[in-house]
Amino acid sequence: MERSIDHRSISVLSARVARPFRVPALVLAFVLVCLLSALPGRGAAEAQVAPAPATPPVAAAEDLTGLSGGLLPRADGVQAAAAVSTEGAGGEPVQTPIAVAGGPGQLLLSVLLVLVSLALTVVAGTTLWWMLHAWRTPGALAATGFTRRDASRHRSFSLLLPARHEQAVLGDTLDSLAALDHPDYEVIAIIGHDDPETEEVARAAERRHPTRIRVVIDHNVPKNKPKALNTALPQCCGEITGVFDAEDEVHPGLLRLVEARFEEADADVVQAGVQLMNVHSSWWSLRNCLEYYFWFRSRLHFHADQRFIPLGGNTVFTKTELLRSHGGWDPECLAEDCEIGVRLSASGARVAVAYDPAAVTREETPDTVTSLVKQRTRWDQGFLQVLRKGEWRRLPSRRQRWLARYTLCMPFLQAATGLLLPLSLVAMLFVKVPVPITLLTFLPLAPTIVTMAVEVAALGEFGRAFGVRVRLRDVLRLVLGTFPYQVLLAFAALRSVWREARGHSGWEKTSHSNVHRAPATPAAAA
Amino acid sequence: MTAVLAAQHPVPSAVQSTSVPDRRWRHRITPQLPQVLVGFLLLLTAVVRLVNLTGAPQRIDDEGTYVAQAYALLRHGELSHYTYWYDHPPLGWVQIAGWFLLTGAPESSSSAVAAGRGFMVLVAVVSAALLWTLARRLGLSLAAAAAAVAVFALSPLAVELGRTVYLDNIAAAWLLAALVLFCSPQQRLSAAFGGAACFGVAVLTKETMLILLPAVLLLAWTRAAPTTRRYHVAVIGTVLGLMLTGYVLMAALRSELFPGAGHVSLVDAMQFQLYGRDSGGSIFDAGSANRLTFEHWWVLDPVLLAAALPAALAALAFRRLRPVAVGVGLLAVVLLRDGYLPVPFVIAAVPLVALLVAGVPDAVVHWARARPGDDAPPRRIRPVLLIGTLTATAALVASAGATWPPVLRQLLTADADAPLRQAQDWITGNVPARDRLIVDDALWADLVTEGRDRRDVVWFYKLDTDAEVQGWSPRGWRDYDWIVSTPSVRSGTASTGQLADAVAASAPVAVFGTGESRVEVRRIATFAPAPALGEGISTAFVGSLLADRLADTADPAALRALRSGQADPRVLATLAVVSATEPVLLTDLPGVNGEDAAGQPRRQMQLAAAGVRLERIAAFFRAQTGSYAAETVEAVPGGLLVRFPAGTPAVDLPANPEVETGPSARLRVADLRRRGAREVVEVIGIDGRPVGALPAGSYGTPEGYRSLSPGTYTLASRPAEDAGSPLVARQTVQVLPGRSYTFALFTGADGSTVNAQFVLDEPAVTPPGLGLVRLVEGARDPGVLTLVMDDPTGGPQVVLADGVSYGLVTGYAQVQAGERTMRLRSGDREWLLPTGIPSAGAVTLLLADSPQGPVLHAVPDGPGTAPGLDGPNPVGALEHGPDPALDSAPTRPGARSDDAGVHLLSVLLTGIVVGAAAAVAGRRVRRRR
Repeated sequence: MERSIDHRSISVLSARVARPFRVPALVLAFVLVCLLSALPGRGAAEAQVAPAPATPPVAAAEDLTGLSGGLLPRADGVQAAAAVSTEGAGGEPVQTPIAVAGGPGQLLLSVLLVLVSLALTVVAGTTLWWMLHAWRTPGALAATGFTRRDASRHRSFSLLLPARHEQAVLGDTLDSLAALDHPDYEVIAIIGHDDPETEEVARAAERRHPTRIRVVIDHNVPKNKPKALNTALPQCCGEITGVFDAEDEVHPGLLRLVEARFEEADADVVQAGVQLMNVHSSWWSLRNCLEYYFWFRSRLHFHADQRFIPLGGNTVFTKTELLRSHGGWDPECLAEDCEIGVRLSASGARVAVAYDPAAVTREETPDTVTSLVKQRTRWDQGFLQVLRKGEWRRLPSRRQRWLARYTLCMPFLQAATGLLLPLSLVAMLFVKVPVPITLLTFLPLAPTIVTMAVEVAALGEFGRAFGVRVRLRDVLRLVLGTFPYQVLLAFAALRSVWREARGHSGWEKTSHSNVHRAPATPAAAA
Repeated sequence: MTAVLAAQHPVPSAVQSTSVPDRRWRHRITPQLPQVLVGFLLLLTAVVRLVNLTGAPQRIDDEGTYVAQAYALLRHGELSHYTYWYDHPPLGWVQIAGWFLLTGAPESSSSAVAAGRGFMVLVAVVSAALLWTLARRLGLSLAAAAAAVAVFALSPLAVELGRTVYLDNIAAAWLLAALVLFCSPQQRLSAAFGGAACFGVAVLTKETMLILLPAVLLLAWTRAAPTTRRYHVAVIGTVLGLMLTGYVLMAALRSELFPGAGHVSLVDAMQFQLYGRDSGGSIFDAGSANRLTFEHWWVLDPVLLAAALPAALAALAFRRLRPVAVGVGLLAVVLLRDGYLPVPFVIAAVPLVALLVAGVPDAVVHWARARPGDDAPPRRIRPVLLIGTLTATAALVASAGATWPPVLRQLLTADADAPLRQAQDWITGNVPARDRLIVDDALWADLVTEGRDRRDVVWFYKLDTDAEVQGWSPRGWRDYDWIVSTPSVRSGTASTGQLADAVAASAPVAVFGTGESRVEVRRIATFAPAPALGEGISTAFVGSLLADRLADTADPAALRALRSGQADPRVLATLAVVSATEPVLLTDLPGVNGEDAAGQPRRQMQLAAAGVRLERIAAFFRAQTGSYAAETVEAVPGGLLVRFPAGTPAVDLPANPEVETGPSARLRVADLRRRGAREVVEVIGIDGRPVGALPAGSYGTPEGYRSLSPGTYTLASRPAEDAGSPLVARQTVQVLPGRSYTFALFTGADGSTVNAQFVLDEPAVTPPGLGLVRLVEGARDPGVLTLVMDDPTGGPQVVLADGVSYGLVTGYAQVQAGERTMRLRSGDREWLLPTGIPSAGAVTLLLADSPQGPVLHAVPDGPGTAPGLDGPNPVGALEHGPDPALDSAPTRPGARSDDAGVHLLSVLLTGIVVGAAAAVAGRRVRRRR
């Protein structure tokens, strides 16, 4: 796929296609080639099966003593030499049935289909394998959790909580954060200067927990999350800085586990687990929750092992000194969490990931499809920005750099896979290529189907781990929602490309409605 | 090194698969014992199978089918050498085709099946290595694992069926790979992927592996860790399902999934395999097909078969061996029901039973040494169990020691394939390339590789079942010239159908081997075959005459053969002619291998000659044409070997060559061949005595009658001017006393052969006013003719002949005598030819070409006196000029190198596998340290 083409080689192509448009251009080209090859042409006319060889006419042996057909009778008493059989056997030599001779269009299409199928298989296959990374052996699965429960000494934490228009949820979050089981931490709520309702809620919480909670006002214009975090960073007193979102439901013992992890792994960064909980809200929230499950349970551990990790923006703990020495977060990036992760990886920071279902930070999905798409657009655009920024080039090994390229392009590759796969299957109905090529076109379906089965298994595991009832309806929603979800993600990816090309980098905020908090919320009971 | 590390780092028991006491004992002998043991056992497996690989068992139909399909895949890109009808999924012969590609087979080995068997040896070595790994992973001790692999290596059942090119062998190897992967020590998910893929390949190689699906799934389930088990299940289920769906998809893409008119379908084939086959009866019914199959296995290895079920039942008690026991149990259940039971069915069971037979005693011993608290039976019954198991094991070993060696010796030394191999050589040397054969599939690939057309070599099974094959031969079995009858053909022939008719209409020309395993090459006769011994009294009579004449100069053995009537009539005739012109030394009448057993006459003769005489005699035989033509004339030390073609029509010897004496007969020659040179016809007695010669006359005008004594003669001709050119035998004829004959010679249809007709000129007595006429059509140019005789009195025209063409000799008809006008019509041309019909006489109307058109010669027939024949040339009086040198012995087509090359490759690959296994085992051990 074109993402793998180094930008140095672009000058070889006669047409300079702008980088953001390459994927849509490829999809369009593929569709055009399919349609053109399906048209009957010279190739179709030649594609006739070699004519069946004619059976040789049976040569009658010469009948030398036959009747004359007239008055003269047959001769008798003739001693004649027996006729030596001169009949040929078999007729013309067999023509080996030639493969259906197509024109150059057929050949081009076959090659294209093979390449595309292989590429799709590779994308789907690597996605599947990295998705399954945590379960590769039972030992590996055990290692994804918090293996040590207590550190030898307590470390001090500063928990940053940027909030904007979050007056509905902020109060509960701050109260629960103030009640964590750890002796030495502070909570800094960062409120925008133009957000009086949220500031009021934050100040109220500050008054309730004066020793734990502080409020910092962010005066930047325009506002975004990295700028808010950067505002608070100079005021952090703790050894370790953690970031939370306003709607998070944090486990009380989290900080003890995190510091144990810091000590056990001798880490600079610890990414603890985040989990979306509302599987029953809708079909796409179900898939969204599972996405997070796989990401935090498995995929991130793979990245940590590879020493290249796009960090999450939530429940992530970094040594404050390290943050300060790297100049904090990138204020212009839409995916500031990924960006800081890339920068930290590039300078060799050691990242540890831990996921324990009992200790995850609980969150909720965006409440509407529109807000989901907007969230994804922002993330995808952020990935694009990180890719363009090029900090990943400083990664020490070539393998890490390729992994960085691949991971940062992954939203687009997955979108392309999701769209191209059904397209190529439909194309099979109209184009004529040899059977082995057609079989190869179905190959990308294999990892896709295995992925679906793995997702069903994970749904069951999710239900057991979190005490959520999984019914047949949920399984059906999961399976049937695969392709529509791909369409949503593809749309978000395209939208991000469009926005990036046009230079729209405004922050589209995701709204929350506190759905994930279990007690007395109608949505959770659905 | 193991000792030191074992002391320093106690190895956690979860990782280690052997018990600690075992290690201490083992490492005292050698630290590399596992590798050495594995290497030795793999070598044993390879050697036992490689020795006499192609000799035993005899090649069978199934083997030929699979290698033929692999060949078709490589050479023609088709899934089968006939229409692929989904009887088995194609992955098995795809793998064989891969091996062929790698080794350049089948051209590089002595036969296609031999190349396939080389692949089977590799598969067996890989299976043995996998069996070892599986045994170790299931917790068997070193000794038990070695015993299991040794059983697999040495059991005659495994050896014979393992050599034969069966898809089950390949599938069993993939099955073992799947089981090995599912027993991954670290319980890896990637191993679950691999195991499911391997089992999918096993099922797509031989669909009967699906029977073992529950056992395989049970193993995967029990070996997976509870925390990751659901993912293993998801992965295994989908991968397996996808592979099987791929096969269905392939059928769908070829539009052959569902039944329909005019094409095969997967659904049809599945229905046939499940329900359509004839039930083989219960194995407990003596004489049922299944019983015969079971006995075939029993004869090879009763020990393993008898121990299978008891070992499986005992193994159910041990958790680790339970899935394998379930697998063996499933196979036993299928065995016991009355269904279709193919011979290779037991192949999948052999490694599993070997595992159990070694594993159960090992587990019992482990129980006996178990410490308190382990999962073991109470102390009281342990000694009983131990003694019982050891006794049973000892009994098994003893009976194996008693029953295996004789069978193994036979497998390693007997040449059971000799009949088929000799038949194949015979066909290569004696069946013309354009002849059509019905064969056993074991020969198909080799005959086609030789250069024969695919449509000329037909597998017997397809004769009645494949519409495409039936389209190649519109007249059915009559379009074929040969049929090779092997044990498969004889047992596979239904009572009706094309195949049965072909067998019934054929007679054996060469027979190889005896009894059940004999192979017959039979000629399908649409004309009279060579008279077999016993009917050909005349060959004995003629042979005796010839022997009497040649008694001074022939070998006694050859004379005996002549007198006993073993000589082919062509040998007799040509020998008679050549001995009339030259003194000949007959040294032998060698038989061709297999033909004596079929009762065929000897068609080879060996003559001693040297120098110019050798060249003359060779020139003579080379000059013969038609029925007398020799297949090869080759120089051998001291002389010449002449061989006549097999299975072609022989020269007709008169049924009773003894002719009573009486008044002389008369003979004249009508030469109607369009040739420039005049010829002389020499008359030679069947005992080789030259009688005389008579001129053949020019074209269309025969010379007058000559008289000769009644008897049996061979007529041969040569150009009149060149007395030194060889005589070409034309026909062997019987001349009865007092009769008149015309010897008419015509050019054959292809322009080079000569058709001879020796016709009786014996007109009946006619009343005056009428005459007898007959027609000899010697005119080629006009084409098809109509001969009409005008009636001078104005009466209706008499149509004498209508639609006649060159080469016809008619009988006599009575017509009005007198001067008549004959009208000759051909198409829109007409010629008027006045002719005189004698009253109360007979005349032959000889039609001949001339520059002006056809002319009619009226040649009077009838009795009269005739001068005698010209004197014969004395034997040996001819001096000839130098003749072209003799050929060297012709090379047999399709000379093939022996399979030493392929076997070398098999041994090399075996060595690589052995080395790799040793290296992996070594690295494993080192890593564990």
